[in-house]
Amino acid sequence: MHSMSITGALTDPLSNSAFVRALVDVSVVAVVAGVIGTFIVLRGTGFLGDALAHSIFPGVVVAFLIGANLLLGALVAGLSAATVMALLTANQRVRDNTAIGVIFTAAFALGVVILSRSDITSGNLEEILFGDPLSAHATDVVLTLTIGVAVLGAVAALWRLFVMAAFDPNGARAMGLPVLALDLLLLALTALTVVVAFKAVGDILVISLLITPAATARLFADRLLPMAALASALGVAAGLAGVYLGYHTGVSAGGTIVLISTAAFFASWLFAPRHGILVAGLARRDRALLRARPEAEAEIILASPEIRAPHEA
Amino acid sequence: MPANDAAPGRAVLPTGRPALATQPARDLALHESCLVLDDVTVAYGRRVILSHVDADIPRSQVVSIIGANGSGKSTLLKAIAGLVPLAGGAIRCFGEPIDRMRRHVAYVPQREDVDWSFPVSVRDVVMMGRYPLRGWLRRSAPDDERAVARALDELAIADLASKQIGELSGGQQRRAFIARAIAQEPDVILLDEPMAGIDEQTHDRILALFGEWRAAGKVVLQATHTHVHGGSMIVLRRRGEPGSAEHAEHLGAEGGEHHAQHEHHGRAD
Ligand SMILES: Nc1ncnc2c1ncn2[C@@H]1O[C@H](COP(=O)(O)OP(=O)(O)O)[C@@H](O)[C@H]1O
Ligand SMILES: [Mg+2]
Repeated sequence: MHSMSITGALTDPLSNSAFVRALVDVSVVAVVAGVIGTFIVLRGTGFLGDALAHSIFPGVVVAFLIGANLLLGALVAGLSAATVMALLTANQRVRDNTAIGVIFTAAFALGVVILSRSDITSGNLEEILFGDPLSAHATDVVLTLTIGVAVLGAVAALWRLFVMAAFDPNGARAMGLPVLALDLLLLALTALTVVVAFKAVGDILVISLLITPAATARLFADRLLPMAALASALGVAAGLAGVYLGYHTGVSAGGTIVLISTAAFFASWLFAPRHGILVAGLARRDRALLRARPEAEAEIILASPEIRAPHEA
Repeated sequence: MPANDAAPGRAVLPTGRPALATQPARDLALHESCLVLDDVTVAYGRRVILSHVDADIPRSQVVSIIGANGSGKSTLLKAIAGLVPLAGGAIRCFGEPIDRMRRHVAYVPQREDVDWSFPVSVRDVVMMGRYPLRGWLRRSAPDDERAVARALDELAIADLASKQIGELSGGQQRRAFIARAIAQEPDVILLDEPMAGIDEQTHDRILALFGEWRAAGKVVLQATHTHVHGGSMIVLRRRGEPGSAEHAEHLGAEGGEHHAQHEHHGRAD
């Protein structure tokens, strides 16, 4: 345990280059995951993200066994899986095909089988499954930055088309928007996001990084851009907290990031100003509401004398 | 099940109009046949819902697609909108395959088909109508802002423009989607039950708009349960269900040159 001031706890690790790499890596990943996660949450295609996360596992395992960069293994596996998914769903809406989620989880089993024949240590396995941003190499950070910027650039360029395809796919297709192509592109971007995120929080927890901050942001935001920005900010906050906690206490940074994100989600679920259940419940009992001017008035006209208007003696 | 159980419906909308083959195909303003359904067959998988539907609809028409629940009204509209692939036949708009004319076709979906909790504002929704006009990748220009403002005004929802779409009442949401159709400046407007669950005022507003669209030479196709007076009809009937002879009579009495006949064989289950 370190004993130091709070400022010290925040600034001292910054002289450690592995720590700085972890901070950069996690922040980039959280921003990208927040944006892509926003579309995933709105389209209800979380199962696709999960399936992609599972299907990169064998790629990572093979990369590990042959001594290649794990991110590159994940990249190859992730893009292959996305391509196969695209082919399987070529003639229908991607989100309609929940079976995909099941099929690609089998890829994870493939990874497990390959692993069982090799002499991987439990430490390595833990890193793959649960992530370790503090072990990110310079190459990892460069790859993450490159892919992250490319993903964000693509989303920014096609932003309103993605929005339209997600909001009203039928109306968009009727106007001539290539909705299927946009669906497939979003799938590829999701694969890339999963690939860069797996290093930070591990294969199993990737889906949480994608979905939890976006789901939390949805409780606050009624517009898309604020929702995406908030999801990214929440992800970065949880990411930084997780990296610091992991550095100082030695607990798993990946696991901590996910737990903090989830805690934020539940707190928002209860307390979010408009959509939080607790706050909404309290507001219902607010006496000031009884004095406010209503938008509509009720006039009761009764045809039958047996029925009395409310409050009538 | 036996194959003939899925025997399809047949709808014919003869025009009684002399063939006019001399118009240049590309001149939309002069082209007589605005929307042509040529032997159209629509199926979901192996389930044939409509088959051999022929219609030649000139400009300035309000066509009501009438039929019971499940008779294929939405299916026909979706086929025209390109949302359900054709199992046979072709649909043309101003002589071109309709897939090349999508920008000229507006589609107002059935209420149930939209995710109302989606975080977009009413103005965002109406602006979407401008994307195909402007070019998918172009930014919106002041032109677009003006067109959106006009469309919002036209449906009297300007004061709701910055609300999230789900905060509106059902009738206001319908107005927002119709405003999007206006903003798109289409030639063919497809509406799936636009009159369902709306108040009289909205109903009258939409009806007036149909009249304006017709006067402007556009074609309106609406799935509906209440036929627009003086408009054409396509009557769909599920196979085995009683006919609606009164519709045919009504049209005959009107002496309109466009009328719909329907020997029905829509699938009954
Ligand atoms: N996506 C679909 N897949 C299979 N069958 C469908 C689908 N959509 C509609 N149907 C069937 O097609 C028939 C016509 O449906 P629809 O066009 O929605 O009728 P309407 O709009 O007139 O109520 C119904 O029997 C319905 O069950
Ligand atoms: Mg319908």
